[in-house]
Parts: sequence; structure tokens; C-alpha cells
Amino acid sequence: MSRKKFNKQRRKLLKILGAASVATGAGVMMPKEVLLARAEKKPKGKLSYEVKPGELDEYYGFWSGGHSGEIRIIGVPSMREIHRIPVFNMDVGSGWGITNESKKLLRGKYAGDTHHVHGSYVNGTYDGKWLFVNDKLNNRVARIRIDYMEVDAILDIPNIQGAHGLFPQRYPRTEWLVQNAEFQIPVPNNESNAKAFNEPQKYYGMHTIIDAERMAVVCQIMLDENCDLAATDYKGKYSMCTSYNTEKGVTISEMLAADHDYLIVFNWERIRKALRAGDYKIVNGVKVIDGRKGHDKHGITLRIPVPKNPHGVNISPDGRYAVCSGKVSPTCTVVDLELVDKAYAGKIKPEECIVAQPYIGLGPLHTTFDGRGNAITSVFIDSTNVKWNIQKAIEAEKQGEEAKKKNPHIIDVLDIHYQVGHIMASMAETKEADGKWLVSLNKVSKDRFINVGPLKPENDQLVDISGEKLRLVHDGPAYIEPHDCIIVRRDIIEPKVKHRYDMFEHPLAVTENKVERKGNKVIIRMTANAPVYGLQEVKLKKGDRVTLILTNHDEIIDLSNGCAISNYNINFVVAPFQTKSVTFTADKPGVFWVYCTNFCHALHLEMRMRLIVEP
Amino acid sequence: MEGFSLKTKGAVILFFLVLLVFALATLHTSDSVYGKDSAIIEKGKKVYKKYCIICHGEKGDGKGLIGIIHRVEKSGLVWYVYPRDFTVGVFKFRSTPTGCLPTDDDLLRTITNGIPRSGMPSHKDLSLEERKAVIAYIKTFSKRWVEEEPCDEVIEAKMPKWVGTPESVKKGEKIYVKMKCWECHGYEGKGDGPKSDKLKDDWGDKILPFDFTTGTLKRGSSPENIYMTYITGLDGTGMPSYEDSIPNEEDRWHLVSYTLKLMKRVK
Ligand code: HEC
Ligand code: HEC
Repeated sequence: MSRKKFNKQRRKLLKILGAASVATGAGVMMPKEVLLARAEKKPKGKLSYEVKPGELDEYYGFWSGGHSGEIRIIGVPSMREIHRIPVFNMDVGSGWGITNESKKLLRGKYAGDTHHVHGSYVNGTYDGKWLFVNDKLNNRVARIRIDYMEVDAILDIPNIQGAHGLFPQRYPRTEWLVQNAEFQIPVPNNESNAKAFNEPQKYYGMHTIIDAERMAVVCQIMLDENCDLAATDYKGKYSMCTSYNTEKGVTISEMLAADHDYLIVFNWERIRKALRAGDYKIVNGVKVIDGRKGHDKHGITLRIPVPKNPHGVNISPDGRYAVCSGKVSPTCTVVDLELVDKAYAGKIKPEECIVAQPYIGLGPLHTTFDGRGNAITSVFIDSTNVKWNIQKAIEAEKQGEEAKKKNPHIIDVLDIHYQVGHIMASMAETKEADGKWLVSLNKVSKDRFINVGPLKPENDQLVDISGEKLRLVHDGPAYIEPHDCIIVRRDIIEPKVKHRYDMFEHPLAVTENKVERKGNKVIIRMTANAPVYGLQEVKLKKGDRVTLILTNHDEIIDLSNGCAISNYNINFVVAPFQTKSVTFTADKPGVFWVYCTNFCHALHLEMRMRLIVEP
Repeated sequence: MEGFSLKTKGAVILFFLVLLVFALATLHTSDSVYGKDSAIIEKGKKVYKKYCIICHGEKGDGKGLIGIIHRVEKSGLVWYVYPRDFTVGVFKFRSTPTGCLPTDDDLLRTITNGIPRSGMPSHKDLSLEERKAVIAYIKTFSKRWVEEEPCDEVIEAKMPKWVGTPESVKKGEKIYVKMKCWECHGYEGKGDGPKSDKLKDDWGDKILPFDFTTGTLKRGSSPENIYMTYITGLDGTGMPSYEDSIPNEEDRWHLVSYTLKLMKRVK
């Protein structure tokens, strides 16, 4: 079946499915016959996704873990899960949430909801230094150092809820991050402002600016609108958010009331000006700048009207266009960022920055790019990935309605399985987008894997985008629930990643085994080398407050040692030259074996020592 | 005791001090007599069987079960750290000049603290008596302990305050280059100098020079230990003693400063 003919049929089909389901976002699946017909298309791009035993992947994929609270590292194109980085969760395997070091960062909060992982940038591409990820649940941002693939800072952000879209500055380098607040709330949201609790008109959204190096809030721009997904430009001038609740609605009907919502742009030079001028209020310790319509003294914000309840905003790799995906509208809105300059200068109206609004499909959510002028948009309700050409869409827009109706911009439509959220192509959020692979993060796997019970995995599908057509090549099940990912060339990341820790980065690194006691406070300083701990027995008294510090002195790559204390609910792992510590009260008298949990040696089982807690 | 001046009081105290030191010194030499005391050796053997045999082997030849399988790799090279073979009587961590046997205090320090990087655990949980007994026992493995007179000279490290200052680090770098430490340890101290991959120790096993960037010293982490390492040499490893080639005491400490810098312990 030719594409044109198919598209015609398809549109008919869409008509039948109807727009009624659009608003609620309920899934409407394509009939099976259509799916089968589509699968027979002949591919042009022919990349091999096979990574043979012993071979390495070409890309590092950094996946958010959704409400598992973690980050995962997936090899692309093999789609093998290679590693997990615990972030806003407790990981009893590695000891995250158990050790003093991790507790200090987590500060008592062990649940999280990660959505967007992004890397730090230099000149529009990744520099391999940091990853950042948001926690929508407890309104935090974590920074991960790539050399150890480990969280090194967690920032609590006040005055916000629904910390959703996060994006780092892309140019000249990542000094700032922006973090959007999707849920409007009273500001401040505490007893001092209780009268606002029942007045939704006094709820506000926030666009938070964070200093990436210090991991501290620079300021917040307060809006009437909510701030959903985020983007930054390639010139270090603007950040953006999509806003779907300009209505300040508190029920789903209210949130969908208005015909138009916004893509809101923030002018960074003007933010700096407002800060210099002292035009802010301090709320909960951070500077809050009023960016509301009519109160925006420095003209920081620009509101570009887009069809109601938009979703993602993504910038084309050439830095020229912001593509705002429609969600409730079956279109994408293309904004020319050069025109945004003019709009700020007051020469044109905000809506005149829009250069195209092409038809995409039912429920477009996110757009990614192949670096060859094409965009690929995830379409939730249709369960498709739609490849379209940006210039062709702009030309058709110029030519008018008749030209647009022919959808000349659409190059290919690929069925995916099923209900796609985010999609991301390799290097697509950088100026080095290379158009090789695309991952479609599908929310529903239904019948694609053997049945594992009512709670089924997601389906991360791998698509070869190197040719004219999109070619589906691999299904990958994922546990709860990646939202977004980035796919980064190996040569950017690999040289930065260390095989072992710099031992003395940890101030408590143990070089001499000893037990220190002051009253009932006991510090056990111990080393680990497979298959022995540096101490073979330690005597304690009931009630002692014990801190155990363990340093792994094994220099063999990959030789990690575990440390579990029987019946004391403690377990953690130390990688080569790493130090971790735990503190507990020796409240149970008896003999307690401390043993290595991480297989280390042929005599691994013998790697143990005694804690003798005397009554 | 009227009229007993402060000065004479001082002199008496000094006299007792001298006596004490003398007593300690004789005690020290009588330690080696332990070697002939079979009761202590018997006790030492028990300790050895309980704690050391798994690594150092029944015959003291370093061929215990663990030793055979302890593997280390660096810069793509693989080598084995065997537990010490006591039958040769060659020791790395001494306060005596190169070629000499270690003092009992040297052995006691090694056994007490262990050698974390090589996987030898600390034995702080053993009583002093047990540790001394096991020293007596391991001496029975080599004839050197009976045939050789112990060396008189004991080298001491007294660290000046300025060690680690930027000026000292700078001077130390020059000495590091001049003394060709880099031939084995590499210019950046990564243990990858031009000679590094050809080195073998006295037992014929591959050995790699220390990678300063790891910072994990075998002898112990204090600056004094670094001083002792290259002044006394690491016998058996090919790492020479620089006691004669760096005669100036200040220069020796400048070199320590520079190694601290390589280990990122000072700026
Ligand atoms: C888990 C293995 C292990 C155990 C147990 C162990 N050692 Fe060792 N020991 C080693 C290794 C390995 C070395 C060599 C380190 C090197 O050269 O890097 C060593 C070296 C030594 C040395 C040589 C120090 C020097 O100056 O050269 C002495 C002495 C020694 N051990 C005594 C003992 C005694 C006594 C015990 C028992 C109380 C013991 N060790 C238990 C592994 C062990
Ligand atoms: C011929 C090669 C060679 C030269 C030259 C050399 N070393 Fe070494 N060095 C070694 C080897 C081999 C080791 C590792 C021994 C071991 O692990 O048992 C070592 C280890 C060390 C250590 C670590 C000791 C410990 O406690 O772990 C220090 C410090 C050191 N060398 C300093 C120096 C300095 C300073 C110089 C120059 C003055 C120098 N070395 C010259 C071969 C050399």
C-alpha cells in the first residue's frame, strides 16, 4: 500500500475514532488489521541493532525511572539495561538510603518521581560532566556526577509543587538549570497564607532558575499559569515552558476550559536585570520575581498562544525552532526563535512568532529530531511516531489551507505498541543530532511480552531512523516507569567515567584499621580486600552508638565488596577505593556476623567478621 | 634532702631516663632471643595457624590458599600480590637500611596494622603477647635470622612543619625528576614509567610501581612512612634505597611534599 493511499485511509479512520476521547487522553487502539498492514513496509535505513557478546554499545542511554525514583543506563542500540543509579529512592543492594552518605543527601525522603534526565552542556552539546534529574513528587533536583555515576547533590526547591520539566542551559555552558512547577499552589504554601488555600485564583506556578555548580536556587519567576515541560535555546538567551492550565482550574473541566494556552518564553538577560535591580520578594529563603501578566515589570515573559493544553516543547538541533506538541490539538506549533527576538523588541506580536501549525495525529506529545531537518513526534492516542519535515510544514503554512490539507510535511507514520509518551532520537537534544536511533517510550505493552500478571511492563521500542522510513527493530520491557531519556554518543561519556574512586575524596577514607571508643560512642574504621575485612572481630557493649566506616582497598576493576550486618538491617556495597559509613545502635546482645554480600572472590563466603555485642 | 637543687633533680631524672632507654634497648635485643625460646615459638605457631596460614602458607613460603588467587590489574597489566614468602627473609617495610633485616618493631607494626592494599588484615584484635609470639615463629622460617647480626642503624623520620607547602612541592618535583623516580613511577605518578612493565620482584613475579594517584600506601598513609619507603628502599621489589643519593635531609622532605601532591593530598 502506498503511503498516500494509506494516509487517506488513515485519516478516515481517525475521523471514525473521533475526538471525544482526545480530551481525557484515554487510549484508543488501532485495529489489528491496520497494524499488520503497516508492519509490511519495506525499510530503507538498515542499521543493525545487534551487539554481539563482548561488543559494546555505541550510545549511553540515560533513562529516568519515573516513580521508581531512579535513573537507568541502557545501552543503545542493544537496549540492555547496564546499570541503575539510585536517586530519590532506597536501594538495598547498593545501600543507597542506608549509608550515612546517602542519608545526608536524601534527608529522610525515600520516595521520588523522576521524569527528565538531561546532561550538562558546553556549546550546545554534552560535556559528560553531570546529569540532572527532577523529582516531581518531593520537588527536588538531583545532580549526578558522570565520573562515578553517583548523585552528589540534591536540592529541595521551595514554593513549588509538581516539579516537572527540567532543562539545563545549552550555551555557552550549563551555568543555570530551569525547573518548572506544574501544579499551582499558594505562595507561600503554609499556615501564614491559609486564607489563600480556598482561593485558587491565589495559586501560582513557578519557573525556577538553579545554579548548576552550587546547586542552589538563583530565583523563581512567579506566574498565574502553570509550567509544564521545559526547554532552553541554543544561544543562552531564553528558557521556555508549556502551560496547560492558564485557567487556574482545580478540576479537570476547568483546566480544559480555555481554547488557547501558552508557550511561555523567559528572557534571561531581563531576569538578570530584575535581580540586579532588586525587583523580587524573598519567600521561603529564595528570590521570587513577579512575572504575572500585568506585573512583569522587566518584561521577562512572552506568552505565545498555542492550542489548548499543549504538552512538550523541543528545540530543533539547529537552534532555530521550538516545536510545541499539541496533546489535545492534533497539531504541532512551530515557533521561530529569531522572531521571538523581534517580539521581545516589541516589533511583532507574540502569536506572530508561529511559522507553522502542521497536522500530526491524535495526541501529539513530544518531538525529537534527526538532524536532517526532520522532526519525529510521538502521538499518544494514535500510538504512532510521525516523521515530518519542518521546512515543508512552514512552506505549506505560507501557501495556505489548501496546501496544508495535503499534509506535504508528513514523511512516514510508524505504529508503535502502544501509547507512546516521550520519544528521543540519538543526540537529538544537542546540535550534534545524528539521526540514527530513536527510542519510543511506550506506556502500555499489553500483549507484547509474556504475561507477568496484572501489572505489566512498559515497552521501550527501538526505531532505526537512518533511512527515509522509520523502522521498528526491537521491543524492550521496562519496569515502572521511564518517562524520558537521552541517548548520548559513547565517546562523550566513556572517557569521563572512572573505574575506581579517588580514595581521599572521602574525608573518612580508612587507611588504618582501628576501633575508637569514647563513652558509648564507637567508631569502627575498617578496610575490605577480597576475601578479608581488615578486622576479624570487634567487641561492643549493648547500647553502644556505633559508626562503621568501610573502605574498599581492592584495586581490581569491578571488585566490589559488600557489607551486611546480620539482624541489624544494614547492607551496602563499596566499589574499588570507595568509602561508605553507617551508624546504628547495638541494641541486641549476641554474636552478629558481618559478611560480604557482593560476590568478590572464590573465598567470598569466608569473608566475614564478628561483632560481639556484650550484654 | 634539703639543698637538693633543681639542677641536680634534673640530672637525676636524666640519669633515670638514660637508664630506661638502655633497659628498653636491651629488651629490644633480647627480643631476638625469643627465636630460641621454644614455648614462645609454640605459642606463635598456634597464632600463625589460626590467623596467618591461609595466606602465608604452612611452610611460610607465601603459598597459602588465598595467595594463589589474589590478582591485581592496572593500566591493562595484570600481576599477583602474593603474601610474603618468609623463607627468604627479605622484608619491604623496615626502619633499617636496605639489605638489613627489619627490627621486631617493624614487624610488629606491619602485623598490627596489616597492609590494606595487599589484603593483609590488621591484627589489632590479637594481644601484644600473641603478636610478639607470632613474630618469633615467622623468624624460624629463614636462616637469616640466626646467621646474620642485626644492623645497628635505625632510620628515623622527623617531619619538618613545612612539608606540603607549595614551595616545598616545587622543589620536590625537581628531585623527583633528578632521581628518576619517574622511570618506574611515571611523570604523573601513575606507576606507568618506561621501566614499569618490565619489573619483577625477587620472587620472579611481575610487580608494578606504586600509582601515586591512588594514594593507597602499603606501609601506611603518614608522610613519615613515605620518607621511610624511599630512604630504606623496598627490598625485594626493585625499588632502591635513596639513603645515599639524597643525602640532604631537607631535600628528602621536599620529595615527600611532591609525592603528597601526586596523591592529591596537598595542592
Ligand atoms: C589475607 C592474607 C594475609 C593474612 C591473613 C596475613 N597476611 Fe601477612 N601479608 C599478606 C600479603 C599479601 C603480604 C605482602 C604484601 C606486599 O608485599 O604487598 C604480607 C606481608 C607480610 C609481612 C611482610 C612485611 C614486610 O615488611 O615485607 C609480614 C611480616 C606478614 N605479612 C606477617 C603476617 C602475620 C604474622 C600474619 C598473621 C598474624 C599475617 N601476615 C596474615 C597477606 C596476609
Ligand atoms: C626501579 C623502579 C623504581 C624506582 C626508580 C622508584 N620506585 Fe618507588 N616503587 C617501585 C615499586 C616496584 C614499588 C611497589 C612495591 C610494592 O608494591 O610492593 C614502589 C613503591 C613506592 C612507594 C609506595 C610505598 C608504599 O607504602 O606502598 C613510594 C612512596 C615510592 N615507591 C616512592 C619512590 C620515590 C620517591 C622514588 C624516587 C626517589 C621511587 N619510588 C623510585 C619501583 C621504583
